[in-house]
Amino acid sequence: MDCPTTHPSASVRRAFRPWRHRRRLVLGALAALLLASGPLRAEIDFTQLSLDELGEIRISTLERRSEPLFDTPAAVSVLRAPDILRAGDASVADALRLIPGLNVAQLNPDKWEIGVRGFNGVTSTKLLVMVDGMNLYSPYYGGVDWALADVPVEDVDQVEVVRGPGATLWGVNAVNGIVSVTTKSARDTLGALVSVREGSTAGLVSYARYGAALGRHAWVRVYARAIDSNTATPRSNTPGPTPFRQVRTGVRVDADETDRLHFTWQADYLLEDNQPQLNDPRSASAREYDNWYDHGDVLGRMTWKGGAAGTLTVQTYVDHGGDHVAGIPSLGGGTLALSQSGTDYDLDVSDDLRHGRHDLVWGGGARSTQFDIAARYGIQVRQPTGTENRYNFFAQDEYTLLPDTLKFTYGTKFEHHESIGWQVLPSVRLAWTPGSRQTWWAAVSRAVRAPSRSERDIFMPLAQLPGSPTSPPVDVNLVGTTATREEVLTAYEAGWRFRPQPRLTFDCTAYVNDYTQLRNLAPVVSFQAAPPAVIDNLTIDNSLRAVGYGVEGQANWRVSDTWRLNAGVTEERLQPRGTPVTALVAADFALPDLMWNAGTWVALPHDVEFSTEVYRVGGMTHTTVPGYFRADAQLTWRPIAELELNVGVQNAFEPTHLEYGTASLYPIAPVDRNFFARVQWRF
Amino acid sequence: MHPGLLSTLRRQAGLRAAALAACLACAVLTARPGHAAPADTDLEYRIKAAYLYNFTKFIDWPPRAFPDSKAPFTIGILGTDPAATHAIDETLRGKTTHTGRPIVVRVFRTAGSAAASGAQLLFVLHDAGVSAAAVGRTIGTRPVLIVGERAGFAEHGGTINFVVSGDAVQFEINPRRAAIAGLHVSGVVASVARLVHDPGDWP
Repeated sequence: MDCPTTHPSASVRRAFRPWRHRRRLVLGALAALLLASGPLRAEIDFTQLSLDELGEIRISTLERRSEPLFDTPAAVSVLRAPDILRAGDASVADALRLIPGLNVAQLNPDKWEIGVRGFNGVTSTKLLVMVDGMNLYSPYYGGVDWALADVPVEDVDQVEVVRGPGATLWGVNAVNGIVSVTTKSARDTLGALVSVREGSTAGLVSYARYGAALGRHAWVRVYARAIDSNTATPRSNTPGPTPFRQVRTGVRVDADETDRLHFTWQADYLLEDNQPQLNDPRSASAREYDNWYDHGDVLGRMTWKGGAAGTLTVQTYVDHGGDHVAGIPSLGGGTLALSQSGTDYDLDVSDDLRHGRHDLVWGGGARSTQFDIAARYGIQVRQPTGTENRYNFFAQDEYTLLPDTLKFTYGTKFEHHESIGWQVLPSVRLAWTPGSRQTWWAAVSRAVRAPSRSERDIFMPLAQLPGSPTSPPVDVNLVGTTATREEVLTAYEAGWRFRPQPRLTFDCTAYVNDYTQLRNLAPVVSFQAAPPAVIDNLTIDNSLRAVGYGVEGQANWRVSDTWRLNAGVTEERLQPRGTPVTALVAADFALPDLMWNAGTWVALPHDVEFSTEVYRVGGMTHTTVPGYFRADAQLTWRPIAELELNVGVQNAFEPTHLEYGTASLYPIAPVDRNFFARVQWRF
Repeated sequence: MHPGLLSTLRRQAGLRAAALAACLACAVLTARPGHAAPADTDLEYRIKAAYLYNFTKFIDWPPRAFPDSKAPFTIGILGTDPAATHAIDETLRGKTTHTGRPIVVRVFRTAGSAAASGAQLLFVLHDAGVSAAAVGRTIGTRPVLIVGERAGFAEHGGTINFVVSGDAVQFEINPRRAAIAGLHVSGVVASVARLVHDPGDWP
């Protein structure tokens, strides 16, 4: 398995500079030389770079496209397209296991919860996910549906991951981390590609794309992918994984009007039909229900470089999603049906100006969300339909105190939500690069998470405890309130990157997170006269504090052109201060007590490649999920240039294991061992 | 604290903030955004030369490509661009292939003379003044990797073509042309390349 690049990529600096185009990079020791004048450059031995690395160097600016920024003052990792393909995963979410600090838990073949620095017991609420600049964090339930982020792996250009807050540029909800998935330019996907992957327990994935030039300066790609999990071997024990069928299709056009003006248009549509198995409390057995959802987007982006305005990026998109589930049995009797749909209109502008020692990024954005939560049969929503607007502006300056040695980055975002008013999201960061082999950095930042619509609006019967001759029955309800406030994080981080030689890198980060106003439940008890009953309304409030701390480490070693090694380790703790009212609230603080992974990729003779990765995920604190080992391996053979064959196994060590706790929005099934075979044909 | 001192401090802090704001405003107003720098020819050809070096590692030439086991690996250049030839020569000077053959870079006037003198790789520069089809016909089925850097080169007689995409140097490969020359292209190369095919108008 290939090593994920340890270091921040240029565009991850977009974690700190949205949509900023590829920043200066530096191949560690080569950086200063690259930037130096001609004669010095002659000393760089480009023949030491691999084919992938050569393709990353930008020739007009002496900057690298997406290779690590050695001196970025944040915990950033990048998975590039070859890393993902070598990992042998069918989904972006699974490939993220390669990045230390990310707790990837698969709930079902089409559902994941991914936590970073804790908070992965109920729904991962503090990780922001973007796909091609589109925000997938749900304002309804305050989490991310990874099925939406799961773009075809064949189209992924890179996945950038920031651990720690990025609210100064990304805004509210970028609390514990950001994952940004970017797909390839249509210019890089010319020709046809067809792939079919069959997994013993994961089902059939079929994918096709075609790319063509539209004249000399524009390119188009159309693609479609179908997943049918019903072909998987059925499990003997229940509840099993949710069977589903999913289709995703889209089109993307990229155009370069001149060297300085670039346009992207894209549209995507996803439709899934699945049959979750949920326990029916009346018969105490699992039964199947029907759920379907869809999601579509249309996006336009313009990047203009070199004008009087610096590098200006304007992006706008509309996305629409609907989710419908029927017939869920309710503890309070009857059935629940929850149907919701929403449309987002989003506009973002950012600009990057460099002058002298300053590198200023500034901009703003606005977003309007129209929602329609047609809740019935038990779940009530105080405000089922409406519009929510938010807007923001930000500025961040990177000031070079000492050229190539010391940089100070400071800035803030101001963001307004109707629910929480104006929020100030500042950060300060310092990077010290004493020589070309190492960087030390430190940062202090503030981030907030806005309460979701359900935390503010929901009324849901949880349980009805029967009465006795001496006591009335008790109705327990979950109640949201508009008084719910934002959750606040103040984060202190420090890191060290070390490159003792060009092919060997280490990246370590330590952090202390101080949370206030975390969500809790407060019981509000009242008595109902007729019929006599005790009403226990568990009302959402913000009475918890918490402290989290941990260390994350990663090492990559490109031993030779045909052999790579990688390893990662994370150890962290997260403790609530205050008393979580229920086990459910306590489970919010779940994280694995220790995670590590180690793997290798090797190119063998006869066009065969082998990769393997072993993951250890410790038991989840605050829940009952035990620790597990996961081992993946893949063999790839390219008999001719057009054809690629893969066979592999996922979860080789265990026939089945559980990766998530007992509570989630989605049904949770154990993850099974999966043998897979894949064929890819390009023409 | 003395109230006067406090107000002085406050005033100073206010001044500092004002000064900072003014500095920022100046930075914004006076920024002279750089014009996109012209492509750096020297760097571009050093990268292309490094690609050529990687091709010698990941493409297999048949034994008939070399007169004997000690023969050098000859990279022929067609074209006259002095910056390009200088950068390529400097990048590859003193290198050997993974099989231990010394790499020799030579500039040729014609594809025919390159083939006749036994070059294993021919890099046709942008100013070579000869079409891909003409080079392809001249080389025929000889075991020569034909590399170019013009749109359509690999479709019309060449094997590999460099493409500058989004400011980065990438390459296309025509696997059938490689097979005609008896070259085996490893999966490592194929997996990072774009594939192109003859539209049928060559040779």
